[in-house]
Amino acid sequence: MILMMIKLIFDYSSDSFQIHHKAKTHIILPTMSELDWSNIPKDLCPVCKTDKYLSPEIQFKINPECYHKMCDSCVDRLFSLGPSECPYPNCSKILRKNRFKTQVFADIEVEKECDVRKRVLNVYNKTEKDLDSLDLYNQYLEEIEEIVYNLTNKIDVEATNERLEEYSIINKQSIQLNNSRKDQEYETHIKIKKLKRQLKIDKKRLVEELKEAQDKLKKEKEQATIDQLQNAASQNANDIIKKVEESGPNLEEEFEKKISELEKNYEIQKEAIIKGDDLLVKKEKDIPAIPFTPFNGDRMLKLPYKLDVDTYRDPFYLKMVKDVQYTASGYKIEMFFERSLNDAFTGLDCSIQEEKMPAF
Amino acid sequence: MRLELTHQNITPNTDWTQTQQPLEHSQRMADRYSKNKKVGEGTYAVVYLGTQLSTNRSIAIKEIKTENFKDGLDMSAIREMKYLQELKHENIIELVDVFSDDSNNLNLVLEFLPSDLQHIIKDNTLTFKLPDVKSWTLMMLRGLHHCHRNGILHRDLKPDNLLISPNGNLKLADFGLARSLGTPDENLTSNVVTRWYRAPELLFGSRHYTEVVDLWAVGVIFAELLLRTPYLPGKDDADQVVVTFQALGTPTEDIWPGVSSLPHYNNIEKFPPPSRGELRNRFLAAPESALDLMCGLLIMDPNKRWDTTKSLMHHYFSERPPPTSPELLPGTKNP
Amino acid sequence: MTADEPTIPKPPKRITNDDLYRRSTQYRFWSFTTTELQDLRTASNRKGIQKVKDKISALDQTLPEAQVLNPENFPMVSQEEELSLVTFFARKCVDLANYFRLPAQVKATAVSYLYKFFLHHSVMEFQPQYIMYTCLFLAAKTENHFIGIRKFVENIPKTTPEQVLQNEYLLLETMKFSLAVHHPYQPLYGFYLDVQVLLPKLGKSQTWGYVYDNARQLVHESLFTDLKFCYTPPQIALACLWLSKENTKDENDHKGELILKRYLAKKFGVKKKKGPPNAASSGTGAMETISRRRM
Repeated sequence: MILMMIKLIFDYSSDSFQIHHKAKTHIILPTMSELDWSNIPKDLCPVCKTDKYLSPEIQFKINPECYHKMCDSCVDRLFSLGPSECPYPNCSKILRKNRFKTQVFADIEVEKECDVRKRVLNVYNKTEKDLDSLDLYNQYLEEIEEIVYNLTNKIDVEATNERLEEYSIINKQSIQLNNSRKDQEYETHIKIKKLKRQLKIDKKRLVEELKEAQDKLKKEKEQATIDQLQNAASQNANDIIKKVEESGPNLEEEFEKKISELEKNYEIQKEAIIKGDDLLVKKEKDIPAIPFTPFNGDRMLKLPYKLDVDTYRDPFYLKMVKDVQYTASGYKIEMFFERSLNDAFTGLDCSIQEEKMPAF
Repeated sequence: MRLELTHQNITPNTDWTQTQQPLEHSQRMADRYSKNKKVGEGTYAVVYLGTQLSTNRSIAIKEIKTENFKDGLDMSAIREMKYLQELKHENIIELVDVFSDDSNNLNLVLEFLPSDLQHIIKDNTLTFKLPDVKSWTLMMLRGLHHCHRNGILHRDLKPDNLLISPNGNLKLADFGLARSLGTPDENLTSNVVTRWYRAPELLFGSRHYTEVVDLWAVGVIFAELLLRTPYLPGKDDADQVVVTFQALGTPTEDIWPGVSSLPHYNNIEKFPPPSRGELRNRFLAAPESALDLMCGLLIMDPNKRWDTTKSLMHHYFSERPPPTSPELLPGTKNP
Repeated sequence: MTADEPTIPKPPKRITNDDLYRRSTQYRFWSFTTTELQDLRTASNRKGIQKVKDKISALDQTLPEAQVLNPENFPMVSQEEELSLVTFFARKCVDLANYFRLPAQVKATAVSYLYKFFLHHSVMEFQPQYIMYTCLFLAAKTENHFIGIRKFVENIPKTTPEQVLQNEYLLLETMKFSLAVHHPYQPLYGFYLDVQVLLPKLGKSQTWGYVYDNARQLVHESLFTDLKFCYTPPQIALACLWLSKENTKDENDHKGELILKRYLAKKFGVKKKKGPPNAASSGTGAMETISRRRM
């Protein structure tokens, strides 16, 4: 009986041993059909099966149409020549190369919601100031959240989209205004940032300059002290040292002055930016008083002759220029006519005998 | 309603009608200028940087080598002298004077222009914005308009020959290949214009071309300004044909009647012309109006190609952004 | 016409074609009043005389000529004679140009160079014959009809390349290096076209064709006069048209004048005192006297 039990144990263990061995020797690469599409491994491109091990610089993109991820090279390969179907099985959405973007959030659901939110907020872009009361504002925000929720969770998608459309058409004007105001605010913000940075740089430079000047002054004072001590035999050494010490420019004071001036300037310019006039950009000239003309006054508009090509009769040239060597070269007999007519009136009114009279 | 502009707009500081001091005896001439430093050498001249002693103005002195040309004075020197004496314009290099020195060498005194468009394009430290490109093209076209209305073809337009003055003005220079148009019975040589900027009718050996060959060159230079690299660089004359048509399509009888009768037209590969979309892809920075202008300047059929007037009147120049003022252009040495 | 305008006309508000002409070297360097022209010729004549005198005085006294020649009563070339000589060689120049089958533009330019040269120099200083060769050679170059020096001298008996080339530089210098010359040919053609538009019936007729052709002949003739220094090319062209006839043999044929009167009246209005009608008529007057002298 014990023997039988031992045999069973042996058999069982040898079986499992065999299975284990089997699994180790077969490394099966998942093919399209074997891949679990709802659970794609993180660093693998499901379309071309390249993973981070084989291609360490691999980067992934998603398309907001269906949020299916694939690697850069696949995007290039499949969509460079034009829009085409998404390669994921059962996804037949038409994708365009320029809509692909890198995923910002780790959770794809968050990404989807953010995209939806961005789209909605482009339309519903009022701020608290635009609505008369806090209640109205809260109502407004509630409306936004409803729409976002619906779109994200695919509830009543069509109806919600229509609602969005309607709202955008009705409020087209105000939407545009709000958008441009936002752009301006952003621009102002950037300009102020730049200004701040410049202030910092200037301050830093001043500090460096101060240090340099201080060092230099110190050396000079030392030298002066030594010189004076050498020359003035009778005077008190301490007095001399004190005198030299007190002479010379007060660098610290000057430094403080300069710093405060810089900061004052900064404040002024900041105000100006906020108000809207740009003192910084001096290079932009005013709109010229004289409107721009491409010729700059350099041509005659009223010609003293009328070019009437069809009327002219010339037994010699007209025939010559009909030859294909002329017509194919772009030769236009009217140019020759025009030049001749031009020459006929160039200098016609110049009265040389008068004009060349020496002035007395 | 046309606005009356004052003459001041054209040449604010120069009154071209003022009778120039007629050239006095040459020996005194040579004392008016000092040659300071050699700055370049070509096949027919040596160029020096110098000063006009009376005004302390910086000038360039082109000393023509007289020994080489066995038929007397070199043709390029003759052309430069002849045309620069007649063409006085803000956007054309000024020939200040001509004199001879003791060894009977001919010297052309030109205004000193420190830089040229070629250097500016190749300078990696400079960035171009669209108003800059507009400004350079505008100045190019204005100078060219003046040449053409005087019946003169430049025939060697390229970025090296577009010099920039210290205050940013662009000027046409090097009239060594220029020619005035005369009567229709003349035969012109088709071996003109530097290869990369050569118009298709020249590539096909036409002998009765017109001023629009210069406008093709302007188109290619315009493209180069947008791309910061030469647009149609052919390795040799045969390759130039291929490069040009590969980029812009081989002309056929439909789009250019008579082309197949031109002397050097032969069985070239038929490339299709690019679509507007393809051009947009190539010239990503360019707005639609700039592409319009470029396409107009690069029309294959010289009959249809735009002339200076049509180009200058195009809305690309009058629409926003306005062209940069010359002092503010990149590469301008000092305002 | 009163000279109420300053010497150098004030530039108008927009560029005009006349301003463009005033920028040309022909206007700036080679347009003179008749008195100025006269003065220039007198000066060069005097220079020539002085040179001959100097040369005689510098002769080696041992030579027999030195005894005979006296600088004071040596027969010098007078101003009128100088002009005749230059004109003589100018005509020869045209013949030579015809031999080379050069177009009118080259011929006119060469003749122009010759006259300009001898405004500042005397025939006693330089032999007009060789200067004439140089002028033609240079004109062929500047007007895009280049002839190589070898081929050029092959067709001129007893002439070497050096003889032609050695004066090239001097010629350039004398002309103040201004090589472009504006001739009346193109303005003449321009008026030929404009009349066809303004006087349609007459413009299309054979008459006008003949008048134009004959006017062109007159322009050829005008090359040998001083008109090019005193008037502008379109003015000379109009003058030639004025004087032209349909039938050159007919003394009483004044077709050119008739047509031109009508054209000018239509174009500029008869009342206008200043401007083209006057210029044309003064030009005509000059032309008439000069051409009569020739014939």
